[in-house]
Amino acid sequence: MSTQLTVFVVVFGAVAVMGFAAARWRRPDSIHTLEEWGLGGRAFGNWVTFFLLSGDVYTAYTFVAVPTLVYGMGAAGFFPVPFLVIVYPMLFVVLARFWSVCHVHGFVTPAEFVRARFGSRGIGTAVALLGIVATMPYIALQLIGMEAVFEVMGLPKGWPLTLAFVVLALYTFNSGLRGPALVSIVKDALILWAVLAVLMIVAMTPGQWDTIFRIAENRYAITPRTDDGLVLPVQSQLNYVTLALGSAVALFLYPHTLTGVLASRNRSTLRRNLAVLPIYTLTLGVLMLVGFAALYSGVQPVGGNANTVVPQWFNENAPAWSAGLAFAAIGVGAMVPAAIMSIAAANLFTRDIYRVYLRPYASAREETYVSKSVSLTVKFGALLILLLLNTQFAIDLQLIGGVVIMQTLPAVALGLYTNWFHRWALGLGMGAGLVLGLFMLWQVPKLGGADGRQVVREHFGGSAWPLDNLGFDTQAAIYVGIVALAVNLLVAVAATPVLRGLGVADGRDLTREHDYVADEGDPTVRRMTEIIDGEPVPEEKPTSFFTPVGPRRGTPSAQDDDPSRRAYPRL
Amino acid sequence: MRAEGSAAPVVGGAAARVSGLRGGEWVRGTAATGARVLPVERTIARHRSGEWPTVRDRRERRAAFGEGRQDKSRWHWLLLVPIVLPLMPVIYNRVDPTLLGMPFFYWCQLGFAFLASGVIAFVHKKVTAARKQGGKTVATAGERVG
Repeated sequence: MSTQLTVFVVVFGAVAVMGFAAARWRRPDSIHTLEEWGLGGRAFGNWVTFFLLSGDVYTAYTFVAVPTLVYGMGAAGFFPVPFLVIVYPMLFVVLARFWSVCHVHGFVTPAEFVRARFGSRGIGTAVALLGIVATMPYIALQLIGMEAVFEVMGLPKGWPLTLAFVVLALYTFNSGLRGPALVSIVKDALILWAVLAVLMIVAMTPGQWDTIFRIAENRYAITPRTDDGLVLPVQSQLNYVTLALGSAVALFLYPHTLTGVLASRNRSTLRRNLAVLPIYTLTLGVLMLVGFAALYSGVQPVGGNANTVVPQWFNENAPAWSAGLAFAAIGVGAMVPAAIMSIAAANLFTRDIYRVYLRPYASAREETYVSKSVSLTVKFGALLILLLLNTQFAIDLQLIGGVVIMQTLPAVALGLYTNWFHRWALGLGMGAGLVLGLFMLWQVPKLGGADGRQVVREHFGGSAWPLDNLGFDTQAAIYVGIVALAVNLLVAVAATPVLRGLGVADGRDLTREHDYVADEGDPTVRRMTEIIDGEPVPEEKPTSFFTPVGPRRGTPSAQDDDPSRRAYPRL
Repeated sequence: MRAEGSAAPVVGGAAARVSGLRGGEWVRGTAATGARVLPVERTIARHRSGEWPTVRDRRERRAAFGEGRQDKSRWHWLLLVPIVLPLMPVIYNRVDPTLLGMPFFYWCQLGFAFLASGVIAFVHKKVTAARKQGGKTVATAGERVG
């Protein structure tokens, strides 16, 4: 067994033990509620939230695939850096509101929020389904990241991946969100080591970054492609900007990001973390520059798998034990987001499909059990996609997933600010965005060949939609998601007054402004004791549409002395 | 706005609107309980339920119940800087000046990370300070609703 493999196996084994032990970490009285299993008790402080969010956002696939892009195209592959910078100021405004409203009402998923805000089961279900559809291929991508490492270590394709995933699936089943939260600390330590290793190795190369960039520049000048280079060619700029913006919007809407967010203790924890997380983007930035370093040392991808560029670079340039640590960083970096994603998808299913349509009065224990089983199913689904179908299929699905999840923006993100939209207008907008997005993706051909101009495949070849489809004489392209989202918004805005004018009934908003600013300690924010009790607050059935829900003034009940109990019916 | 139809229930023959600002206190009736008038509880039916017959009423209501956006702050506009700058390739799409041999394109965009971090930390400080100062008024508004 090579040194790399030994180091990898040791780290991986330690992580697996930690994952199982996490169930005992801050052990609650009962882990059999969705708040405990799926949100780690909603009580993570500054540090754990930081590790959890960074583990969630900076995935193994990013660490593997993005440097590969830079290796192939140069500047155009650098878009994740602006994307992961602009996303945090955007999140700063919206996330705190999302946290508050979810804590006041006990929501676990964005779809529950939408259902309550717009009074529409249909829209809630649509958001849940789109979330699940977008998350599944994302899990498969994490496997692709791990696969690249295994390939460099010379392991076969099938069983090592399956084994790693079985371990992951079991400890997620057992520990819920506590598992990835604890493991993400190891992941961040390993990533930090990998970044330091890159910096040290580059510092030891003669000429350092200067030489590396010069060689990369010469290399891009030689290739017949016109879209590569050290800076952006004119025609790539629009796609670069829209891709960064679109990815930032999508990141907020992905259910797994929101799961990580809801696990934090209070609003300030969240906001403090958002101030620090941009710095984490620097680690990604440094790893992206490995793409150039790989050009310098003439790394060739192993076995025709382009994603192996980064692991192979570590393999050739770092000492064996250090390369082993870098491999472990990618391997563990795949486990954390995959676990959180499967938990998020499972919660969506349980709260927004199972409890809404199948068993409305499911107990907390039953909910947790359903979520656990679904998280297993989702993971093995992703594994099957990868093993039975092929890698390219998973990548294409993920591309579609990004465009799909963006269509929930008016309901989820704008919904945090206004209930002005009519529920059917939201549905129409979502539908229009989806149809247009899929059609545009279908239109994009896959280009390849030496000069990157030959059509390899007719359809679903990427997310950069060439503007010459509109008859413009230009090589510029635009990110499909942004166009689809714009159409979605237009339809929603235009249809709302029309539907109101036609007298189509509005949904009933079950939230109010104070819910969006409530913080830890506010009487309306449910205390953990109550959440752990798990049983729903008894709901008074309104006698008519106009009867206010909840206990009334003048009719004192036993719960009146406890303000948190008085609050809200469980939705 | 529309206040007709089911939105404004009519009580006991007389066209008395049960929703409205009455004697300085906001009250609301229900269709089922007839003339029974309740003080507003925390869950409020929105949209076509007749609470906001006119824009002016809505404003009064907001003032009375502290319903406007409570986390509003002008400092939030500052966050636009780290959002807009990285989306303008005109600024950074060049090779010179280089830093440690790294083209401007790369180190400038990495530098935006520090900018974003700094701006967010600054805004967070300002907003929490403002919230602490204005906390009293928010609390009173909250009490009136709850």
